[in-house]
Amino acid sequence: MSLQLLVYHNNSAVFFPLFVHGVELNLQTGGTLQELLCDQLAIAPRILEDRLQTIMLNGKAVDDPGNIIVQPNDTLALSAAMPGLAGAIMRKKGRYAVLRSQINLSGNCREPQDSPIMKNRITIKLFNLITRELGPQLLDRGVFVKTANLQEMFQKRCLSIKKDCSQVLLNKKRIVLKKFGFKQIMEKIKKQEYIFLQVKT
Amino acid sequence: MDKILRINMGGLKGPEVAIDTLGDYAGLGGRAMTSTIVAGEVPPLCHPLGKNNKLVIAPGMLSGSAAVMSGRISVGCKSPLTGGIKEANSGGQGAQVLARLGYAAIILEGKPLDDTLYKIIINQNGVTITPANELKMLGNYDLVSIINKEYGAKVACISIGPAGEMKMSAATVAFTDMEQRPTRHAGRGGVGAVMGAKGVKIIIMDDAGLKMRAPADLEKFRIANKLFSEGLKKHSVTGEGLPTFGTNVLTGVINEAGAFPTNNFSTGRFEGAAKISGEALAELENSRGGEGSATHGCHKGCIIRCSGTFTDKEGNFLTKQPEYETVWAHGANCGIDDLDTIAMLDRMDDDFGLDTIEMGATIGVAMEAGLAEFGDSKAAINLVKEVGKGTPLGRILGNGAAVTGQVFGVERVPVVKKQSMPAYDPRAVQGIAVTYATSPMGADHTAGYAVTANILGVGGNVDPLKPEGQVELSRNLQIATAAIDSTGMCLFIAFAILDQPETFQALVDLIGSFSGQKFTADDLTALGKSVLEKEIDFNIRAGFTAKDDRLPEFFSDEPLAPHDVVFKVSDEELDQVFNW
Repeated sequence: MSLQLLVYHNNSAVFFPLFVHGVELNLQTGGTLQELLCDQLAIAPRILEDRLQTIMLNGKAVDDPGNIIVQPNDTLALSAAMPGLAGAIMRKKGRYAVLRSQINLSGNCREPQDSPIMKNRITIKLFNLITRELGPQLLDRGVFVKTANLQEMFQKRCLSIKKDCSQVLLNKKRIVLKKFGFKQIMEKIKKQEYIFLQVKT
Repeated sequence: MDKILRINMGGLKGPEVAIDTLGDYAGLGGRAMTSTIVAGEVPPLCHPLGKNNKLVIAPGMLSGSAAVMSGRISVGCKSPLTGGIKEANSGGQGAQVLARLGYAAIILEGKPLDDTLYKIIINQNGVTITPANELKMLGNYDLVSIINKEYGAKVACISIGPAGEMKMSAATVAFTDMEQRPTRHAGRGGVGAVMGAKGVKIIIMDDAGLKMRAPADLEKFRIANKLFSEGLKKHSVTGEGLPTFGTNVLTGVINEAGAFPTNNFSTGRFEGAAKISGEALAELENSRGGEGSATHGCHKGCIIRCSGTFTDKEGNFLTKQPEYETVWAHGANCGIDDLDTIAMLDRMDDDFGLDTIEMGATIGVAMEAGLAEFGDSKAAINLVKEVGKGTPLGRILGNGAAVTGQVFGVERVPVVKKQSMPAYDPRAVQGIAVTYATSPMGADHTAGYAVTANILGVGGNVDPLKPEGQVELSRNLQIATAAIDSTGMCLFIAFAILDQPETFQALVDLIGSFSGQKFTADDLTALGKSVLEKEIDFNIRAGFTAKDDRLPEFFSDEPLAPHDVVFKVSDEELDQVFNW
């Protein structure tokens, strides 16, 4: 099931809270994390180097994304620089990385035959300023979200979403919001665990 | 700041005021001042609530000047919570106003002969102390409101709530912010109980008619201050992340790392983390209070503005933006995922004058003991109410997690030197654990917070790839932090001065041009080291040994989910931290 929204003025920020919960994408696994970020998610190498200061794969801190192979069902978390000692410790390639040695992911490179290239579901979480920077392009591309999270978001931000939306498509059929609001949409999708959400501006 | 205000609360005819010259304390500020005085003047074996303990309140070296971010103030004493030396510091207006009044420190000493409660008024004409029994057992909010009516809305207040009057070991000393709200606290170690033991409810400071402290070399100072400000503004943490999301920006990643202590340190991830994250908090504040509500400074001269304003569902001010540690302590650690509940608990802590970290950890222990279910918001609020009322149960809780765990027979009590741990599980982030274990302050994340160690070059260059670097790094971080705590600078400057050597140099130049004396990075290092040496020496004389520099047993025995890790740094390694 899919839900496509067209919003005014590049205003997809209202959907950013979904990224803290995590969204899912079908991506090729078996390659390196750096390839996934730069080639598949089209993140510029400069952003990867300068802005993505903390990268975690399955809860473990990554210092060298070029040395990590992404596996099916992995969970990837991306964050900008964070404050304090904890922020410094979690930073990739930081001088305080040793202080988190118990949760470092220092390299899981395998031979290609061990990890065949194929498309699999990967969970992506975006935090803080990174959400603003990468969120719109992921929403534009489309992401799978847990229906429960979407439901909660519609309940909290119904007015704001309605105000910003110029067009809504449910399973590619246009919905007129005045007659057919989010309540009815949620009613239709509630039995689905996930829904494909695409937000274009 | 050329004088020290000493008030003997035990005078035969009431409090006795003496204004001293600086003497041997010349040039000191903040933590360097409080720890030097406590280490030199307080008998280490004295009772923390007795006549021989002293409460020292000292603005930082740069406080009261035009230097940005210089509004931190230190409060020191022998801690009723840990039994060792304590320095707790705070933002708010206190540092700037006290420094402009010319006082490098206020020292409260002696013990009142009866239970009269006093207020102290300090302005440019001098010091007045009057009985104020009508203020007894008032919460900090009502107290400040009454004081504002009598003394105007431009004074700065240093006060205690009921917890301080009841001499609870979790009691804080509160400082008013720019809006005359008692939202800033020297929180840790029970410093409020010592103020209560001295019979002082509130210190009212009025700097009307006084100017900023002038630097010795104005031109150099201006240039350094400008460069320092620019450095903070251009850095992504101090210029973007902190102003946008506050310190709670950490919740998402720390939870993801499995280092977010949940349900009294029983697991490292909290299912409800997204609901209490910095992103969610900022969105809620901005939606209720208007865009920009999540960005606010705690004192004049703050340009990072990591705080914010939390309004309730009806649009009324409830509390300042809860800090990351508060959100964790009253949130994940108690299984609570509701920001309104957490904000209410923060408000109550501020009003009663309680340390949010200690109280959150204590409620977590109480929940483990069966006094309430994890996740029960109403029960958590009721438990803190018990503390405010001073019921028998409240008296137990108000004395912290260690006492509560002992009373209720709980084994999993996350304390070092009886002080509760903050929001990072030491099993997942073992380097922080080294600081928790060895800091003379007890478990304290800010003791090794200033990530400037390698720039300062203390202890040689550490190879971050070697595990043994954890001990060395912790030592260096503690030295750097002690130095920053002495300047009056907010610790959040740390990231910018770590990443940007020119910003670090601007800080050094700021201190040098202000004092008019040649000041180098080596001097800053020496300052931090000397502070730590005095603190460690005090604790040794108070009876502390290496056995006190240990984490509770369960951290070595109970694997922490999701990574199933235990604390592995050996006792021998811990004993090397201060072997310099």
